[in-house]
Amino acid sequence: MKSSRSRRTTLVAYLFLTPAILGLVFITVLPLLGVVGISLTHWSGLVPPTYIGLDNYRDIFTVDPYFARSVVATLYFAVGAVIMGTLYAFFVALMLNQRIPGRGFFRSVFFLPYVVPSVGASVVWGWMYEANFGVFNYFLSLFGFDKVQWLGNDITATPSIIALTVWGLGNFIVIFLAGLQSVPTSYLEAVEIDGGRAWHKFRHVTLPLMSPIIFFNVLMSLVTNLQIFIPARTLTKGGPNNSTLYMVLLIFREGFERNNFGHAAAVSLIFFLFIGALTGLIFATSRKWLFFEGA
Amino acid sequence: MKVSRKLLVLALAVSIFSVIAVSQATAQKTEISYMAWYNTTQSEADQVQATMDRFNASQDKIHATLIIIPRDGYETKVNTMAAGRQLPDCTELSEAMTLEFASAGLLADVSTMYPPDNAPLKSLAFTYAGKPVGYSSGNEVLLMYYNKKIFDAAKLAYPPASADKAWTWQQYIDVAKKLTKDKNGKTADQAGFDPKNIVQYGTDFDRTWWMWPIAAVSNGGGLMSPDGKQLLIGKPESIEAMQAVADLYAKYHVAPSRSDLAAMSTLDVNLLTGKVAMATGGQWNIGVTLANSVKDGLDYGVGVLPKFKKAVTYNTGAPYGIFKSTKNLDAAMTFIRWWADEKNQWPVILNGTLMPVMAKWYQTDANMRQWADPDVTKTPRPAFSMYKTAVIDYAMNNAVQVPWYYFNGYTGLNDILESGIDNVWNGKQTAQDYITKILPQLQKFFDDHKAK
Repeated sequence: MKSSRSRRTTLVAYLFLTPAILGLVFITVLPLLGVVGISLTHWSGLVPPTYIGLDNYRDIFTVDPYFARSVVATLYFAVGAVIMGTLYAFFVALMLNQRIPGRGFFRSVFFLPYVVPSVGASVVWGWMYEANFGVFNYFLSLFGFDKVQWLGNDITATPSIIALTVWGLGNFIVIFLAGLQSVPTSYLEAVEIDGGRAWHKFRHVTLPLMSPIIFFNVLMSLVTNLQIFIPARTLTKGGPNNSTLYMVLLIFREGFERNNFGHAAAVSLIFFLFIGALTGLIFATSRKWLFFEGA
Repeated sequence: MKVSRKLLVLALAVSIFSVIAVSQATAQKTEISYMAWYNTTQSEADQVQATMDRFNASQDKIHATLIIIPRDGYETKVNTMAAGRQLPDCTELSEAMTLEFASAGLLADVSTMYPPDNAPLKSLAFTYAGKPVGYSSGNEVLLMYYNKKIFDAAKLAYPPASADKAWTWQQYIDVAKKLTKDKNGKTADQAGFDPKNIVQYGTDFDRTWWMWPIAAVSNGGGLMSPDGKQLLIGKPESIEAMQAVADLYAKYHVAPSRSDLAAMSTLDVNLLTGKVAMATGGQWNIGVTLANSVKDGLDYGVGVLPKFKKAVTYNTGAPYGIFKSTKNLDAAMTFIRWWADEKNQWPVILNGTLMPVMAKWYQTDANMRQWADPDVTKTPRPAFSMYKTAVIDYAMNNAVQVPWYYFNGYTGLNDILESGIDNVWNGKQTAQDYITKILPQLQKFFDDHKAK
């Protein structure tokens, strides 16, 4: 039997949790249920919806000419951005963890892109990618190379957007840096005493101890990058040749530009499951490569 | 002292009374709202507001409020307002959304808006279920623009300025080859021509989704029949024309690829800088783009499109619509009549952005010269003699409507058609293979959406 004191503690706890629960219910759970409902209808937003059962789901896999290539484009982008982003952020964090002159300054410089609003950053990168007057092609021309249509060519469009995304990963650098600083120096010294070199310290101490942080960053990065939208919306509008028609852009286009809210809702639910499945996969495999101190 | 206090009270009473009287007079005015877009700059929005102010100053029974938002995202905004039942009384609509709104029962029938003897051209009516639901705000057609200096230097005749003299497609290719140059100065019809290093393209035939099918119409095909009841894109004539448009880049190298175009500038700059010798484009380019480069020395001409079997062009123009939900249909019609009146849009007609919509402006030479003769308009426009045959006569005698005037679902149909079309434009797939592959899907969509 619980004491009245512990009951009161529970009550107070729930009281404090109420705003969060209300937020969750009204901003996440109910809209999600709404999306499930809309996905079973044909709804243009202009006239009342009509119930059509699972037809939207069937159409996605049978007649929608964009869905399959959108999945491929999204995966290509997300995997590319996760790999490049993790390598970049980890490498920069390692460098910024060294005793170098102006370390504080460089840490700020690498963090700065993260605080730049992404629409603004996309537009500025769009100018740098511009084929005639952009700075990238200017440098190429100095070395005698031909112009590259960075965003106008279906081979270079997604890598160009990956580069711009990776550039903005200041927060990951900070998280890696915090992790690196918490690696106990005694372990590193032990390796030195045993005759180990920098590589051994990195491979057998730093990397295993950092694996939970890498895991966190990879997971967050994957979930975020699968939802890529702003650069594709501002710079390429899904083109060229649908190479940057990422899933969220497809959902947005179907819903708000084509008035197919039912279809858009069905795509977004499939997308939701898709992200869930990928996240689950990473969790399932994580035991094999995660190392927890003391575990 | 007492007298002055009485006077003060009297003055107060008079002023309160007059405020009430004025506010009642204002209250008696019928309030309507009108939604419109601006393309790039806030100053454009200010100009629209200035026109609105002129309307309000001219009316004693109607007061209209302007809701103006950027062009990018306009459809999204109107759709959201429709979903939220917060629509204005009347609006500027994009062509593609008009019949969709009409089919949802949102647009009012505007057949009584104009008296029959003073109405817009019939070709400018968006029709749903046999009733007009909006008239285009301008009469636009597709044309061929060219840089005269490039033709002079190559000693070639200018593209024909009248439909009866329109080039055949083969003549068009032959001229385009002579005007396409590589970095060594070789033209596309000479041996040793280097298609990888082209410095001047002979032409660009616009592959924008609603523009290129005019080639198919000219060949006896098209996207669909003009009554919107038969899908024609699978006809051999349509496929042949589509392939011909693709071949300009993929086979003959006389036009830029689509990704080359993405790295190029606007039509006027491409002509001015000699990147392209001749290019198709809408009539609106005269005011919107070409006028800018005339200042920089561009000497351009305008002609008709090349033809396959018949000389033909598309006509189009974004319409004004009145929402059925309005409680003030008559006031909204009065407003749209005023707003669409050429005299209230005169500056953009004189500069060549819009052609008039009322039939009367096309009926006499004197009427046409008022808006199309540069000696009268004092704006940078092509010579009247050229414009008269290449644009006005062409628009009046050889234009057919873009299907969005009569087919509800043009955007959806096009979504399927465009889904892999870049492979055709890039030469990776033939038009025949591509259309064969997607035809069942196009046919199904078309059958689901055509007028029953």
